[in-house]
Amino acid sequence: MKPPGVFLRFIQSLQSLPGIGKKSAERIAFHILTKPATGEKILHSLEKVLSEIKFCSKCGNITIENLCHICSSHGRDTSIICVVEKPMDVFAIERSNSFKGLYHVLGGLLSPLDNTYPEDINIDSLIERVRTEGISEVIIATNPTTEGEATALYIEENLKDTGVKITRIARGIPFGTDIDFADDLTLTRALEDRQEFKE
Amino acid sequence: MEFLEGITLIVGDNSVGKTNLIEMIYFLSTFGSFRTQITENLVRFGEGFFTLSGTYGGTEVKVKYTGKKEIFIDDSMQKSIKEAFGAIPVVSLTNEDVEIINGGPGNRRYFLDISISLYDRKYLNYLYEYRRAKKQRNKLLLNAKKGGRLGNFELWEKQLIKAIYPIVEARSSFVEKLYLYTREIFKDLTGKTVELEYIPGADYDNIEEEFDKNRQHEIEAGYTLFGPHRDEILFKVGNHQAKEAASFGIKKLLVTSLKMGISRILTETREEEPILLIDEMLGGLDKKNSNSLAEFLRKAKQVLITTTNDDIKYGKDYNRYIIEEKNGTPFVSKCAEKIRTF
Ligand SMILES: [Zn+2]
Repeated sequence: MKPPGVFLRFIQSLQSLPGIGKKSAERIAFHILTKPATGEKILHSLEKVLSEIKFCSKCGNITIENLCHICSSHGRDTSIICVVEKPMDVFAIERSNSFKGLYHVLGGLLSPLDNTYPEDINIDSLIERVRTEGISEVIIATNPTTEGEATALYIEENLKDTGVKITRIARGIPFGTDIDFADDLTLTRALEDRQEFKE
Repeated sequence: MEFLEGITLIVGDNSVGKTNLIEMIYFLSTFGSFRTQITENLVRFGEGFFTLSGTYGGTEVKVKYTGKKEIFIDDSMQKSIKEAFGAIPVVSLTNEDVEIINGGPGNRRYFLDISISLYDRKYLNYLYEYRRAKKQRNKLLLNAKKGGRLGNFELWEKQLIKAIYPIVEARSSFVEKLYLYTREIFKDLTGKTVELEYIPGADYDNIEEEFDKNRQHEIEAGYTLFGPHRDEILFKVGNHQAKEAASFGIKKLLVTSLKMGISRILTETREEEPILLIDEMLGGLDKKNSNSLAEFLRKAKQVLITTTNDDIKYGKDYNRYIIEEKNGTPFVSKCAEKIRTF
């Protein structure tokens, strides 16, 4: 017997999520069917997240206000910006409690294979911030992958004439490991051991 | 199943699964096959999935296959094949290895890459980084070929060049080392001289200039024309190119020498002797050659040899497994005791 198409399409859409394979998708789908209250709860919070969460107009982090809680905080060191690929990286670094400055979320990495070029990620706004916000140091904390390195290099080349100090997080993070997967201690070390940018 | 130290003969008729047995051991080291798609072969024995595990030198490797591979080393799950590769060191020698000499340059680069990865844990990362940077650079070359932009080309070229050096360094020092060992072993086996030469796929000392000079060529091609993906190794026996001039027997002894050379490199760099897996490779050698090879193998820590006849002399004593087919079951094994031959 074939399950109804609407149910199969639900399983398919779950499968498009990261880390969810066919088996997990089926398990989740059947679970929601048998426990409708769980489904309602997820539906409700999903709706709220989609309608209320937006990106900080300054740094690109997630927020429900115009500015995120980090940009609007008075307790941060506003002379340092840590540049990351995605909001989840902000989350990981905040959790490690090792950084008290501001962030800038690129929203992607340069990658011709994915048709992502400099104008497709938030690089111009970073240069603008460095020029106008009295920034003394920019830490580039993109992943140590081919794309992360190329993006770091591009940022460095474009910030050079602003005279700001540019550093790169240490490669304490093993190659291929995403920042959002690194443990707190590794992240703290990578930030502490950051070095002045050199090619 | 447990294999004792020293030489173990795996004796059985063709198609009773002798090769499968040693291929499983190879799989636990490289998660791939030395002949076909092993994953499918293995699945036939289990029903759609399998768990395979093995222990060598105190390291346990376990592979669970349920549509995708999950790898555990000493019970801790590995993030990728890259991390787990070569945890158990293995060197295989099969009839197909003659393709290292006879086949195209891709065969020889694959041989280099697998061998280096078995002792240099970072090497697979280097290869991965290189391939990724090359793909990105190729995409821009192809863009330009189609009349599009070359946008920020130098960024990706820099990543590519950065990724080239560790590969070239690892390959050239490997070939140098392999040459020393192979020369000695090949001389012992055949009395002939052999030369190995690493032929770089670009002028790596002036790679920036080489890329600059050939920019237009590369755009016309739409992909990267120079680099480690064009590297070659040349084998010469007595001043002649082995591929063209050597007899089949000599080629067989040359790959045997290469594999035994790798075994020595692994022993030296990992301070741990690899398991030698030999699949039907010894047939067709003359008495003198097979004697000198047997002498070499007797010194190894653990050797598994598949064969259809167990009358080859490997020394005073060896272990033996006999594999038979019973009631259509792929392999039933019996008799694992040590047998004194003479
Ligand atoms: Zn913000």
